[in-house]
Amino acid sequence: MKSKYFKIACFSAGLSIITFGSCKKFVEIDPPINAFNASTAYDNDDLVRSNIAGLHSYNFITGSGYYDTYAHQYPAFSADELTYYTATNDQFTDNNIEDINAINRSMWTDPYKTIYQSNLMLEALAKAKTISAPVMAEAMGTAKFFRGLGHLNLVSIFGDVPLVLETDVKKTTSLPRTPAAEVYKQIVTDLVDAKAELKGINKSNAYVNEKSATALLARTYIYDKQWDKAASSATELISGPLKGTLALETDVSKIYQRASKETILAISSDGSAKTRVNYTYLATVYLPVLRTTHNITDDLYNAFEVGDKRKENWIGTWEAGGITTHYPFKYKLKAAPTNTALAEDQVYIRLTEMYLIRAEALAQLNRTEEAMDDVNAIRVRAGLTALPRTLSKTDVLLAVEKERRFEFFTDGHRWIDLVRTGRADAVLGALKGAKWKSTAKLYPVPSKEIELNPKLTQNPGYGK
Amino acid sequence: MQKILSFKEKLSALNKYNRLKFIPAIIFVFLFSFLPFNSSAQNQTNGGKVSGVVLDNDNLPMPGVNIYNSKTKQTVTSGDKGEFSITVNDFPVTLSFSMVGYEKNDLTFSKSTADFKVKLVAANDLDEVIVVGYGTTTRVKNTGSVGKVTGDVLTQQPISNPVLGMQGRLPGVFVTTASGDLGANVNVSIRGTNTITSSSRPLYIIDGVPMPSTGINGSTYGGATGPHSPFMNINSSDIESMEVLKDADATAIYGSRGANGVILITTKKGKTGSTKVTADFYKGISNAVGKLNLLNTQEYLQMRKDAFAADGVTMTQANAYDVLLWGDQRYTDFQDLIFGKTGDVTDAQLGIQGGNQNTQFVFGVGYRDDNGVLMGRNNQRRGSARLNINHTSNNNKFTVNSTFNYSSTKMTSIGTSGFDFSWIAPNMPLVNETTGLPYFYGTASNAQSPLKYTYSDALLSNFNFIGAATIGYKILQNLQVKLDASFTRLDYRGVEKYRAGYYNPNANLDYKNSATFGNDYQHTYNIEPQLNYNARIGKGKLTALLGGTFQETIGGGQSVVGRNFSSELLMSALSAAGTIPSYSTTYNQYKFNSIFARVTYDFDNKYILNTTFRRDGSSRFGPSKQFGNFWAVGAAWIASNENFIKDNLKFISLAKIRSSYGLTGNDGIGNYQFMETFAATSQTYNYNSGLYANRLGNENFGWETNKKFEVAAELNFFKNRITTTTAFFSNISGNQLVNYPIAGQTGWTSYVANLDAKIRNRGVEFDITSINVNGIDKAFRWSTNFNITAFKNTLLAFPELSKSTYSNTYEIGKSINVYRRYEFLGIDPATGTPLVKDIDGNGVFSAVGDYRSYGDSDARFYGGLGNTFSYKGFELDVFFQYTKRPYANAYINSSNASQPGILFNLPDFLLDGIWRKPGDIASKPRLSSVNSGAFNTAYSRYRLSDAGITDASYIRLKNVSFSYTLPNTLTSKMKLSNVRVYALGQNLWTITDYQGYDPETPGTATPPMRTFTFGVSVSL
Repeated sequence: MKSKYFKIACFSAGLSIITFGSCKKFVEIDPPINAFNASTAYDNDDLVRSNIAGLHSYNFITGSGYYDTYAHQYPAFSADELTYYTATNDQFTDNNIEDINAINRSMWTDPYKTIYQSNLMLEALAKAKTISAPVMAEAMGTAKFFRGLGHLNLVSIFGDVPLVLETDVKKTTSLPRTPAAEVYKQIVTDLVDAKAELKGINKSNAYVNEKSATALLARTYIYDKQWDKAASSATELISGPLKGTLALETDVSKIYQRASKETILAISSDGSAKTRVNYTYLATVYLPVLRTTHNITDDLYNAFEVGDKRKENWIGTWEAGGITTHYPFKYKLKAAPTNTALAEDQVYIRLTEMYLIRAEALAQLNRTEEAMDDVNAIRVRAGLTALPRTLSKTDVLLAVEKERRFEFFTDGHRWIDLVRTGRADAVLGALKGAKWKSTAKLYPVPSKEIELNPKLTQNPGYGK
Repeated sequence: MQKILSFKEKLSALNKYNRLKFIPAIIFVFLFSFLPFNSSAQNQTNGGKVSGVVLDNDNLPMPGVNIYNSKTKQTVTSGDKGEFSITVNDFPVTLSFSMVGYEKNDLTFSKSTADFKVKLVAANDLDEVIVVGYGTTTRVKNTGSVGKVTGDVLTQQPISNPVLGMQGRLPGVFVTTASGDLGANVNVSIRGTNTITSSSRPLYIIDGVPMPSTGINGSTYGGATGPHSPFMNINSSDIESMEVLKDADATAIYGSRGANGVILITTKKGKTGSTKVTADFYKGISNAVGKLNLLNTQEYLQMRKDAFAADGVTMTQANAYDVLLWGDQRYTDFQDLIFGKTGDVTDAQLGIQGGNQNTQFVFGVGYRDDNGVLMGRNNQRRGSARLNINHTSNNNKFTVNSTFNYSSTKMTSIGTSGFDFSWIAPNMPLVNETTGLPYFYGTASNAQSPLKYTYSDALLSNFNFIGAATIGYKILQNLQVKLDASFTRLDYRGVEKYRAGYYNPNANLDYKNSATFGNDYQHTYNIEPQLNYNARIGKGKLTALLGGTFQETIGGGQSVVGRNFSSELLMSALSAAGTIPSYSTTYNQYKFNSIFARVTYDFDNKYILNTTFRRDGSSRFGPSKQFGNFWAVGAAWIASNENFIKDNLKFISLAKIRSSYGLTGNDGIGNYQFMETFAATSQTYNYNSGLYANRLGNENFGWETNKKFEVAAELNFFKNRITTTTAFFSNISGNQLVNYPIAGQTGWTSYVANLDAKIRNRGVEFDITSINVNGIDKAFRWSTNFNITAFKNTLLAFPELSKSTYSNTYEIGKSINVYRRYEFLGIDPATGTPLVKDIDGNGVFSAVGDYRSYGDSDARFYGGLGNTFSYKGFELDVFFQYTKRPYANAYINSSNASQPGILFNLPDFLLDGIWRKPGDIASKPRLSSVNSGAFNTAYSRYRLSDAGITDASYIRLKNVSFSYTLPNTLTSKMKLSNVRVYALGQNLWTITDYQGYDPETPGTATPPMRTFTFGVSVSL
């Protein structure tokens, strides 16, 4: 009998040991084969390089439609550039966006996705030990560029926005809105750092590099009304040490092609996509299929001077059933071209903007004649006559505004320009009449976001 | 179906479903058991000795058993270890083994016998065996709440998915089908919804193997049905029984997976007896139960014109092309086109079973071919094969039971459900006369065209293997070590093809055809070592179980989209695709590890205490949260075994009160949710592949919990002719796992976290079975069973509900399935515009502030009523199922129903009582042809008001089964043991006030099928 009980005891003990002993280990699992643990994501140079490419891919192509479409398209409705063929986007064209509007919410949340991914990279790099100095610098610079870009897009559309500099969602979910001035300050800090870190890193204009950091910095300064810094940053690219091969593209029809000499940063469609190679996503949005959907307003169409090559080259005309409509035709390809010399990338920043930033900054600094040189460089390239250098400051600024309008229509600039220069009320009030409200200059903070973070306040003119 | 019958009752009265099969089986067993003794008796005349041991059900020795020889009137008593020895003068002899509380066992011996084992079965144990987690019990001794459906109930319903066969049969178990489409998912809700966002589906276990509760193919290549029910792979004819575990006592042994209840599917096991071959064949037709009375062309055009008139809008070719271009000569009932075919079903089964005392087997093959009602090819074909072998060693110490099951199901359907297009304008042209291809109007890529679906196919193959083995060894007479090992593998492979005719040629898409290829697999192994121990302690019996679980489930798959195939004949070949715009890989691993124990003490067959403990570890939780402890205590008092009832209340055959309380859990969130991970960006950037953070982890969340309480009374009367169970339950689930919403400024929308919300499900279940006329042998017999469940779901607590994203979804004190709606105020008599109340009075209508709770989608009560009549060889079974559901989405609120007056057909009831002219006091708004603007907005609010809620209660004649078994005299002439012909009908007749397709699937899904079949079953 004893031996039997011994058997039982042994067996029970064995069973419990097997069960308990292996427990903890047994239920520990590896990440799925299509993902891996975040803690190892920055373990070596190769991984960090993949993360750099990842930031570009995620932000520009795969994460959301923000940078390659929304940021171009919807502000163009809000301004005086586009109308839509159905009522779908009336809230934007009529400047009465409801705080529950889903696209408006994307405009708020999408840049924060960029900011999260950037912050995560910055936090991880701060702890990483085995990364070589150049890769580290490029990664830091790239992350700060994108963090700056995210905040810049937010602040220019919504005004005060939460400034998010860390990834702990439990903390960031309840951050209040930071005054726009402070947000601008941080963007400048990020871009100045990015510029320094990206120095000497030899990357094409498909990637964030020292030039694009400088260009975005120039854009930030002009938005933030730091005129001399805006002018000097622009100068670095126009004629300064960063000029390199950059030059104004003389042929207007080539400005939006990959081959353009003036592109500073582009969303690359080269080797980028499973579906879309050598043409842009934006073209598939803007170009007509049986009918035009994004119609250029008569106001814009008629504003061009006679002989403006930009109108000839960048606006398409569509006739159907006796009705003529016009559509954005900067990007001409909605399928891969047989001749790859015609390939198009989506131009994100180009040298012309630097000319016009400098012109605006100089005018504000009362150096109106120099400003007019920059304006005229752009005008002449477009096949127009140069304007006199003797225009008043107000007229120079109006000339800059005009050139910006014709150069960058449907690129997402016009709305922000009208708002930041205080011209929205005059221009849009005249155009849209009773529909225009001064409070429409800031988009509403999405009501859902206020629900989720009660510390957020609504912009004036919205909500209850 | 739940009934308690004594063994004698079973023999004479018989379970109505088993009756026909049992008689021959029992005769067989009897013949085989006694023939050898009788035949050998011829040669024995001298005396001798019979000795051996008396054992109880659990093989424990029984002292004090009387052994009585009626010839000599001699009695002996068994010893301490159950041993006995009796001298016999004259063989053959019949010895009676008897003891109080046990059924007498009379055995005939023809010669001297030694080491004979005599089984005595407790009187109360002679009732239905119930399968529970890791073992079996009986109806009387069970301390928990378990519902049982036998295989015969499933096979008398001409259904392809066995889970559907439970519908209406069990209290506390609410079964609905997602649609009437072939292979559609079946949802089972056991005692209500316990969770906010986690899975509320029960745990399914087939022969010890956990099975997924929904199709693993998802909707990427599921054809018209979408995700398929994995149970479409299971052949109803293979099922012995399905047990549904409901309360803490029954489910706690499954610990963390028991919160939503457990469904145990047990397949048929081999039985001792001569080899028996059974063939069964039926064939029938089916069609969809509900069609709407849609407007005909004249009525439709009149409605359109009235709508334009009401709007004051002039009809133009742009806004009224249906009226101005399509004319009034054409008429199509698109319901007929889309789901109006008559389907058919063919089902054939062949079974062979047999075996001796040591080894038994059952082998079955099944074939089922369903042609569905949808347009285009619509077919589901299943072949299955199954083998079960049991073996017991001569010394009874070693047992092995193994089952192998393989099935293959092929599905064919149109690529996507075309159901939504059944309301297209009845005068729409079907075919473009120039191209011969489907007609499209306009340039929208999603333009209507019902016929386009015939240019799409989905072909889905599905393979399912289940292998399970139980190996047991008795170390001691009362100690068994056992190993349950099982493996299951599911494979889905499919392709959905969309040929050129599917696409609107005017939409100018950059592809002309497209195909989605998918394959998914999931396999699970499950290893569960166990120790079973029995002992007699004092006047009671102790049963103990100790076990462990090692389970791993790995699933994954790929899906690829190919476009611009060079030829439409090559669309099954990805290599022929011109472009491959998207592909994806999925992978999931789930590991599970537990230790569990159960101790039952049965004192004197009167008081039973059952305690269960389980410690579970799940890979779905972070490193410090993987383990959780779950437990339950159940107790029963069998009052009818007390003398005061036995002696005084003889009409009571069973009086039992039981109660249980315990804690179960739920880990029904996805895998990896706790883990912060990176993945490849879906597209490369400038030739470089990228990485990004794809999941925001949270290592701090833990199990959802469910505290279950139940108290029940089981009362049987008049020798178990009336059996009843009345149960009250109250379950409170907490520590809810939710996608905790966070502000978008974090870069995310939510993360998984626990929330201390509490949901209570409380209800009463009652079921009764009564043998109204108890015809012995073949005289008239009538029995009735009825069950009802009434329950209420309540959200008890939800911290900071008003601040959460759920603020407008839930209300504390209401059901978790509450409807939040506007309050409908009526139709403005002046304008015909529907009015809703501006509750917060801010002049703006919005969900926030103006929604209020209005009913909920829970069934108030539900159940079934069945009557079985038999006479001679005839048997008729009529089963009604009913659901009282006062609030459900009305037709107008189904996702695709449109505003009356716009370019869509509608059922005629929607025009009853509409506003026509100023001053009308109407119940429905005016017609309007404009799909935007103020009226349309008001109409949308009307849809989202309580006017969009309706009663979806119904009573349905779910099943009628009529059969005739040929008399033995006739069958024996044919050299057959049994011949039965039968007719089955499913979903035959429905009584409902619901206006729409079908109250079981309110909204827009193919309604359930009405099926008639005729069949024959022959046994050799």
